[in-house]
Amino acid sequence: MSVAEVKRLARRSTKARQTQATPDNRTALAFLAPWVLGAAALTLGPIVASLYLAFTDYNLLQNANWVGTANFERMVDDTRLHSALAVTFRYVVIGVPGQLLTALGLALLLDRGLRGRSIYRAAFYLPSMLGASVAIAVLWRLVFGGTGLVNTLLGLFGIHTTTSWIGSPNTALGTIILLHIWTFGSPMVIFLAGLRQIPTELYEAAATDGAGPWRRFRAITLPLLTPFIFFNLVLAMINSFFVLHPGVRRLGRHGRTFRLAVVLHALPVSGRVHVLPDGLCISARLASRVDHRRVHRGQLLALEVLGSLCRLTPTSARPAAPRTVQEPWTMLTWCDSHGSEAGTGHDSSALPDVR
Amino acid sequence: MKHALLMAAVFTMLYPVLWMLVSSLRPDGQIFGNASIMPTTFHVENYTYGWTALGRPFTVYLLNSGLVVGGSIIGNLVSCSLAAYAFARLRFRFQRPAFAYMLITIMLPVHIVIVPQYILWAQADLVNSFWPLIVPKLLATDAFFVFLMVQFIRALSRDLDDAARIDGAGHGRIFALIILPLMTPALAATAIFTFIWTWNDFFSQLIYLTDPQLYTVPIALLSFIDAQSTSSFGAMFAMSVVSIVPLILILAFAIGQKVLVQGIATTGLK
Repeated sequence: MSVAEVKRLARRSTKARQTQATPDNRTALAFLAPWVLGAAALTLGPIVASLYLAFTDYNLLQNANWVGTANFERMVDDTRLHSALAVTFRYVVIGVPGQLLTALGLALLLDRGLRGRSIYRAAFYLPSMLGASVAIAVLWRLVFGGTGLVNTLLGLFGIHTTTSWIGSPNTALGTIILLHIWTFGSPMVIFLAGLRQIPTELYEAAATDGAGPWRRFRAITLPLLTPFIFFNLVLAMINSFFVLHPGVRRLGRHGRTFRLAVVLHALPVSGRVHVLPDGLCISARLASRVDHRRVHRGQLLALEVLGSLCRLTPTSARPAAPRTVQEPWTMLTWCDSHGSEAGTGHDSSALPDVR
Repeated sequence: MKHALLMAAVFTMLYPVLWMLVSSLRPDGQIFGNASIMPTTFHVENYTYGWTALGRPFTVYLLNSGLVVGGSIIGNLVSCSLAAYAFARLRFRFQRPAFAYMLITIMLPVHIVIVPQYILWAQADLVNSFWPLIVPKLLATDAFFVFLMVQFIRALSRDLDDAARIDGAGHGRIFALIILPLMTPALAATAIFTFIWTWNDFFSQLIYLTDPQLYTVPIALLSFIDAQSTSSFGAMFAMSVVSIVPLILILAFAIGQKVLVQGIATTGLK
């Protein structure tokens, strides 16, 4: 049997399989067993559970009581939520194009045949790997703090200031956006892969026809790169809406309450911007009335993190003190301040600001 | 000219990281107000002090992180490739809705499911173990990788499958002997991204690991920072550097093997 015959046979069998439509149900189930189990127990089940809990007053320790849409109503009325959404929106609208344009620009600079190309690529990619780590969250805070690196550098140019860029409401969001742009390496690598697939002959032909660099970019690079731009855009949007930066975490110890504060003061969990998921999550309002004395100390931390993500003001809580400055609110801080006494949640970062 | 521009860009980007590296070798008094990245002192005490400051040597946390990362990588490689083969090569009932659901879970924010998941693990009495961090990977919940592999397998020619089928191979053997070896770039990309994401992941680790004996690197770093907040910035930087060294090693490896770009270039981005 020649190779051609085998191929023909094979093709026929493919066709036969497709037309006969004998499904491989059992085999498929065997291959998919882990995924099915995971989908049922770890995603679909929890989604449904969250949906139900959103309409209850469940708090992790007591049984859930149906409260109807009360949680959602409270959420919709809260001006801090509006502010949080606006900030998240600004973050995405500025941060995503900023990051992608930087990535595209540098990908174009890293032409084929450029010497040391792979070294540059590695160097540009490094921040993307580090960007989400705790180490960088700490670093960022110290770099943009009152006596941090940025102000030291400004001092060299005769500008003496001790403004904490990360602490001041006007600039905090900017520093987070900068952190996002700093991690432009991963979209850049994807752009590079895309650029590699554009045949060089196209550019040569265009050049002989007298097309300049800009014209070549617009007529060849841009159209052929579109799928990659689209992919990057979607990925970046998902990521920046869902971002939960380590900067956000921090459990300051105040009395016996562990509270979530923000190392980087600003943004972070922009994540839950979709109104419905927000409702699900926040309205679950877990742990809002945890009796701390009864809970194992080790578990307290975990409960509080979960709780901070998910709680609304306990009905008994005092109203939050009016704020003098407009903080760059985020979903997380919104949830947090709801659960804690009169909004000191923000200033209580465990990391003292560098004076 | 172009090189000058690129070098300037690289320098600007890596400057803060270099500053952290150099600061980790400076005594506390010399860190702030000093923008230089020339190493003038080698204050190794920052490292020796930071390594043991938490009561347990930092080795414990590195090992814990290694366990979680290793388990996650194995889990993702096995479960995601199995699921991907089914989606890409088999035909079965509910295939379309199942695939659509898989795509949706790529975009599922963890916050929606984390609370019920936590309750689930708490009831199984598995909080404070590595299982809540590893089992989800064994069950292919990282849908992004499933999707990545599906795209990759779809791009492979069916001729080899069919030839093997004629020779009497079933799906199990086709998967293990033909598809799996051919999808090495996708597997490598999965392994590397799983490494990076799991190593950096602090959220689920913070939630599930509360026993100091089980702390992973990010959690240990956080509690170290809490404990040290007023005293030693040098040691804080030192431990931060320690925590990112494995990432840099992986990057060096990936670049050396060219797997990163290969994996991305060949995985469904066409």
